[in-house]
Amino acid sequence: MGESTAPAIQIDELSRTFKGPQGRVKHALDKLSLYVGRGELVGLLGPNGAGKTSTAKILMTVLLPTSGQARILGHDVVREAQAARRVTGVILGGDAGLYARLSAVDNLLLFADLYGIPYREQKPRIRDLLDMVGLLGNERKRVESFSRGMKQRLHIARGLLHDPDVVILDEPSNGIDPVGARELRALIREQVRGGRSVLLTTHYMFEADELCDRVAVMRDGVKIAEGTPESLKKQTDGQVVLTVQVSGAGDGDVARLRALPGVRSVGLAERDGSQILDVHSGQETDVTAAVLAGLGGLPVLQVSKREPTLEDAYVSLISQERP
Amino acid sequence: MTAARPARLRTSAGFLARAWRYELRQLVRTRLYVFLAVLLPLILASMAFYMFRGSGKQDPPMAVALSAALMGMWSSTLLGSGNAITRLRLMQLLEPLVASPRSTFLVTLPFALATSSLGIYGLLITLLWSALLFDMPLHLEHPVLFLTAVPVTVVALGMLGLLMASAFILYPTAQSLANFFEFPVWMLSGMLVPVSSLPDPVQNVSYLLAPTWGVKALTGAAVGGGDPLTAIGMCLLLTCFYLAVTLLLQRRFEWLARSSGTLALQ
Repeated sequence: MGESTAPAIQIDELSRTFKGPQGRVKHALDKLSLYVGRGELVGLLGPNGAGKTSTAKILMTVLLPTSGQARILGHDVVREAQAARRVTGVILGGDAGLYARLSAVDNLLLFADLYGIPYREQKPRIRDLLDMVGLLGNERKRVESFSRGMKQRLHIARGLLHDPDVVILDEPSNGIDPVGARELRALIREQVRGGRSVLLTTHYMFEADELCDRVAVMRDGVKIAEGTPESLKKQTDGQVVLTVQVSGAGDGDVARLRALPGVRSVGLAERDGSQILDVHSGQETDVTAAVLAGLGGLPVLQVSKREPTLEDAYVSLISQERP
Repeated sequence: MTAARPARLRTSAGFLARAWRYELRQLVRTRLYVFLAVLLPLILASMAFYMFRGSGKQDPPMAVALSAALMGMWSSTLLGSGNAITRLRLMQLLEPLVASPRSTFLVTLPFALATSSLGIYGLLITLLWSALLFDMPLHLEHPVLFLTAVPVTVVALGMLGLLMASAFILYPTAQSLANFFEFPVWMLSGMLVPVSSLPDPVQNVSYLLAPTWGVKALTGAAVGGGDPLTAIGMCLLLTCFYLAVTLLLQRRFEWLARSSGTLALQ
């Protein structure tokens, strides 16, 4: 397939296993198929260990699949890794992955050489990118003195340095403050408007909801749902979410609530020393009394009802019984 | 040749030069490394002079100082190359570097060159310590040959270090191998004892090591005797051999590391 007509990313039946202790085989990815069209932004969602980063690493060509195939603009990431690398920009999340003792501009110059950017183009391109990510004025400072958000912006500049057609963003907003995350989302949107194709791995639902044309939800290496954010939200049509803030709830309480008649799924999250229980049920059944009784006298701090969001659709999908 | 190829060669050379400079800058900003770089030559020079004085041998002081300097150069090169790859993995830089459209060899070469070129400083400071503390006359028999032998030996040591450190790409825990390789090379290459005093089969191994010829080249050029020109030629030949083997090994190790998923911090 020629580069001009090939999809941005085409993944077919991609699997990856790792050998664990005592020779146990762990399936990080199990027959994943996914398509990212030109100029499309597709989100890969899932909890830790779902296989998002393994997928990103295979596309980055730093991890080989056990079976299946992945192509970037028609280039096989195993057999034509060098060609795939030339057209792919990799933007990693977190504050590592940079030369901490060098300045931002030195980091970018090094990668400009590595990506074969001609000398006369290097400095103007770096200046433009630093301007775009808001690091002009800090470009001579050592990266070790940067905040996490500044490092993330430098990651973005580095990933876009060779003007790639396809960008892989691996959990880019991890650990960034809300303002920085909003700026980051604006930057990503700008890239897609400029014609780049993006695969974004994230576990922040609002980020996926705001940015993605389509999302694929993964659990234990398997794709369990795919569609537009709207179509995934529709999976929760007719549902209502009862949110209960409680003190001292644990996995045992979640299992007990899950078994209640009318309850479809239950999510548990920690917040400020208390627990937030999101209980999904059908609109036809009011489970409030049963849920409060099911908490067995635990101190209830707050109770509210709301319409489901993409996050609820995601939680509902993730917490479904495994086949 | 396409028009893009000369540009790629230029940027490859640019990457080598820039990465070498940055690596040197990173090293001199590492306090522990600077401390060791200042102290190690002094320790090795002192050790060598007191050992030789104690043995009653009549080796020229310059030969003793050069042996000590080469011991330091080898240690800093081998540990430096290995440390560089380990550091890249710890900084989570190994994956983005491998994910670039250049060979792993080009990515790792500047680290080996940077650490071995710091060996030039080690050589100078060892000679200086030896002159100041042990009254060694700073006289070179063949200055031009000596100045040729120094960079040739440095590059040869760097390549041997890189060849051995290539395994670090595959095995995150291979750093301990560096310690294993450090002292045998001192022994086998004539830095610690003359190669001629080693058993015959072991001598054959010695002659496959660039440092052996480096010792011969530097000592011959500095104090006379031997054939420093042949030693320089052998050093260059072995460097080419190491280069070819490293290219093959790194390609294979990169593939295996991608296969086993060991490029990332475990």
